[in-house]
Amino acid sequence: MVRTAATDIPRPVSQWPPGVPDRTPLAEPSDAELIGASLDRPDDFAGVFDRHADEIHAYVGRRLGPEHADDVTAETFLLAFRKRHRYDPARPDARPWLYGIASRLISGHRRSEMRRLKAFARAANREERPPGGDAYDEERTAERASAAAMRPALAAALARLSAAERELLLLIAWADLTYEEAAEALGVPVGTVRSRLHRIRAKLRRHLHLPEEGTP
Amino acid sequence: MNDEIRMIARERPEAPPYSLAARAAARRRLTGDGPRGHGLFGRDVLRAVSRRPYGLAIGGAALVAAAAVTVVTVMPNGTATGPVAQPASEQPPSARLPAAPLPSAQGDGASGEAGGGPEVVVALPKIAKVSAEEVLGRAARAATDLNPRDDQFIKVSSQTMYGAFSIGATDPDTGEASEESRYLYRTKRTIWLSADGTRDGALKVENLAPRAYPGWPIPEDAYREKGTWWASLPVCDGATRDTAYTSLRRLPTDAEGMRDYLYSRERGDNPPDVGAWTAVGDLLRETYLPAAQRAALFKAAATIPGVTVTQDAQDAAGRRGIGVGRVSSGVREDIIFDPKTYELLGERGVVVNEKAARSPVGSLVASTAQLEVTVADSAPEVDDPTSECANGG
Repeated sequence: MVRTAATDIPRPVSQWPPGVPDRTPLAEPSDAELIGASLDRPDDFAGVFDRHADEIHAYVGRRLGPEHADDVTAETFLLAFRKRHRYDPARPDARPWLYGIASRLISGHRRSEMRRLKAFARAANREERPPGGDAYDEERTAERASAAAMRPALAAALARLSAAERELLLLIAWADLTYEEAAEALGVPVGTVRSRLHRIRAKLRRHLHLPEEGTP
Repeated sequence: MNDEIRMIARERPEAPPYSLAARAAARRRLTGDGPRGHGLFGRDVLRAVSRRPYGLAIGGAALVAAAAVTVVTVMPNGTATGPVAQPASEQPPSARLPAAPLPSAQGDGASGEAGGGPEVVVALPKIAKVSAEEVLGRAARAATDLNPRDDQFIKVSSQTMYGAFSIGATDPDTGEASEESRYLYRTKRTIWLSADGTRDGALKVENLAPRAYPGWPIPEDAYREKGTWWASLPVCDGATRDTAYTSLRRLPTDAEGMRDYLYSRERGDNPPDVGAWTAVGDLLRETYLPAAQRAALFKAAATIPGVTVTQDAQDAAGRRGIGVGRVSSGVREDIIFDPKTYELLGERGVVVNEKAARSPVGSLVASTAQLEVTVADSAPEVDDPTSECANGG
């Protein structure tokens, strides 16, 4: 019943990672390879989930709060799974694709996001942490941050951006995507990303009453 | 250059925790398109448990009553130092409880959470034989991160069965001479531990019916610990636990550095490899090791001489996984991973040497299941007048 394999036995043929020489435990398939394999073996798609679910969940949670994070994350991967045959195998990293799907789902919760941002923005006027409401828990984080006083102003500034602007900005700022990855996620040329970001930064400076660009 | 963007980036709100149950449910939707896909692979047990966190005690008014009069003494030094070491916070209480009838551990047929209940029938996926190094490498890649804030608490719910050992001696309390005895004590535990170690934690323990240590009669003592008890886990000045989240976060993130750390930890009289392996369990059990350190730990663990892989290891909740273990005192101590995601399921101890373990080969002498690990904003306040720091006087 109990079988024990010693560490030094010859390494048997592994079924995982699929299609990859079993050289070292660190040799792992790219997302594109996993997605490709999942066309024949749907269960392999779970590998994409294992790799990125936490990151997507964190991003959704940051934008919409804990009440939507679980559902939107689950929905993101389900949609990705259904659309996997259209995934471009030339892109090894699936993060931009997944963030793109998540972004579109998040945009369906715009009112929740605005409520959340406005709650942050209002926080400045409150002495005490108001009772209840998950969003207010974030205030404690704000207290830790050195720029605590800036936070409500930042939230207000975010709320004043258009949905598309916010989407792009937060993919860069909160999801840590590069310009190229953000362009891929949103399905726009990278030049568009650059020019949009330029406009977004100008708006932020205006709303945050920061000096114009070029001022030391 | 992009100061405005950096400013937004710096103040990103904290991400909410992704509970293992919600994560497992989302994952299952991907692989479970039909009835077959809903196969009871372990996680359903998890879901059942998280829906009814205290399922076993529900309706057990006797337990609640018992808790109110429980007197708990957390002893500075535990007596149950078995083959599977316990965390320092886990010393069994020398509780003197009024005899309260325990509700019998009845499973409802749909879950295996009650140790005495029916086992969950699981369809095991085919697993290729793999080396310890490979399993540990895969586990490292499955590492997730809860990102608790310093002011939050790591909350871990688990079910445990460990050996309780008593050497023949005279009880200092009663003056009674006792024979050497062994039994397996079983509990459901929930622990709240301050992420940065600066806040008092809490521990809730529900005692379950004891079992015989294979080859040993159950001593009368085994039935003394009944009901539910709470303990405060006070902060002792200047002594942040080395398994506090913020301490763990500072551990090396490379396998080599982590290996050095494992071998540098206090190991008592144990040989270095045993000590290092014990340290692996201690860093995982009722803690939350950040993803980077967890990855490093798994890789480092694979380098400890004697580490083995056992297919089809079952945890205390009936979930099956791959056991990665090492033999100590005739008992192979397995850390059990989910065979698909390599999340930590639990631990077990299996006798592999009758003479050394003084129990028949194949006996299960330890079995735990880490049922849920989440982040909580606060720990329950425990009215526990007996809790004080070790060496507090």
